[in-house]
Amino acid sequence: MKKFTLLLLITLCFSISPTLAGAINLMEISELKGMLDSDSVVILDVRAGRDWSTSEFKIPGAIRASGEDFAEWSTTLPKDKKLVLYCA
Amino acid sequence: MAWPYIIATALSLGWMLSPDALVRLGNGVAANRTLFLVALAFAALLTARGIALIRHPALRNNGRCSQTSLLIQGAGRLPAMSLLLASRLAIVLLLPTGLLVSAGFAFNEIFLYWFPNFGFAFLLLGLITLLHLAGERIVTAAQPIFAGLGLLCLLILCLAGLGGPASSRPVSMDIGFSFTPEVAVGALLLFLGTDYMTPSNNRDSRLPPLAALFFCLSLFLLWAMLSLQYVPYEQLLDSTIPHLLVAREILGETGRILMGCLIISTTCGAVNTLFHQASSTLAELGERNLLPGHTPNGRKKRLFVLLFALIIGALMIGGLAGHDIIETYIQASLLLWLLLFALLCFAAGRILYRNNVARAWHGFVLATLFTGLAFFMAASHHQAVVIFRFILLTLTAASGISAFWLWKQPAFEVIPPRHKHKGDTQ
Repeated sequence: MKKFTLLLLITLCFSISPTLAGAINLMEISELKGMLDSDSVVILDVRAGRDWSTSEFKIPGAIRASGEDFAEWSTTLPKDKKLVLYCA
Repeated sequence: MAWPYIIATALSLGWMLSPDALVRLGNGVAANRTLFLVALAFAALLTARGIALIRHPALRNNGRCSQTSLLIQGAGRLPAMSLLLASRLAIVLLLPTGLLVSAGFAFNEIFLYWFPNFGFAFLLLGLITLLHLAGERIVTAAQPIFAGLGLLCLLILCLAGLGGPASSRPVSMDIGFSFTPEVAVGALLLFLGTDYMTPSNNRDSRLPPLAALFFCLSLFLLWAMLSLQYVPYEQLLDSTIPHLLVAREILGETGRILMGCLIISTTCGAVNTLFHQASSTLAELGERNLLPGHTPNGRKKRLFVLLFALIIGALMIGGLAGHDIIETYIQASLLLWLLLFALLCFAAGRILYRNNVARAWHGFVLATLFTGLAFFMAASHHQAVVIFRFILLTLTAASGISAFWLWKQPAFEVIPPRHKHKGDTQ
């Protein structure tokens, strides 16, 4: 019975996580293009290492925000603005 | 007749033409401007002196021109084994991890946007591994193609740049004095790789590395000047892809495509050279009964290459290239390579001194200079502690293994017979 309960809990966790993740919306490139000059949007480039350094495509004005330093930069960002994170 | 020389020259060019070397060149010329050109010439001169010393004709019989023999006879077995293992293994595992990922991005962003960059990086790793599994002849035949294609692309871009509008109206003017010592000294790292290949045990082995050095210095000087003429130095200084910016300014989309070809072909060339270099070193140590777990004469080059490929693949999957720390590790590995060059100069100087050869003391001066400059570069790096820790750990591990092995197997060192086949390496 204990095992069954544990299994049920794990299944529940797995089924809930996509729902929670769904709260973070995905954005189309065309949608972002229209917002590039807007003051209400903060664009965060979350790529690190060679993923960032060797890429030719970097959105002008984007702030570098490495996943490793999340605790550091997450607190400094304005909460009233739309945060757009991109990794590729 | 000339083919072994071409192969040896192409192998010497492996690292020098790589995209990482071009990034260092672009950032260096932006930081120190015209003074960096002087630093480049000075670094090439020091390297050339080192080559002339470690490939001195008087050393040809003293260890059969082999790098391992030279180190063992001139510096002793323990330092030779330790530095060879530490430097060759560090560079062969870390540099390709970064280079292959860079090539993957170049292919994805320049040629096929839908093709996954990691997929392409693994494809290149597989290709180089297959070349090595196919045998020495295929490896050495492929290297001139990789290096030649890279040289050709760079040459086309340079010629187009010379004929372009910015050559008469440069965007960057070198006004004022700009000098960053650690960047200027870093020019020395651009010419690594000339310590390794010889075309044959019987011929003059100084020619290929010196030819590679001459080609590279000429192209570097030209490319550095063009970089300053076409792209503002502030932009070059901050860029992680200065070579791509310059190529795009010179020839637009065609320039990007040419630079993409250069990145991919020279990445293949660098990885091919590093695999060849490391597997040959390990095989030679094994052949001399100086590699733990290997019986004499058991040359297992293919096995070593397979092992390198598996570890690099694991590092790529583990996401090492996606961490900023990889640049620090690569810098530390390059410094270990410079230390190996310093030890080679010391060993050559010592043997020549014993044989009363004139100017043998140059070896001691060069060894001290290279070691001092390596220390300076490590100390002036923004992650100096990580670099020192990495170098110390790698050297301690390699010397610990070597010391244990020499203690366990003190009886004999097998001196292998002279290789007679064509295009003999080392």
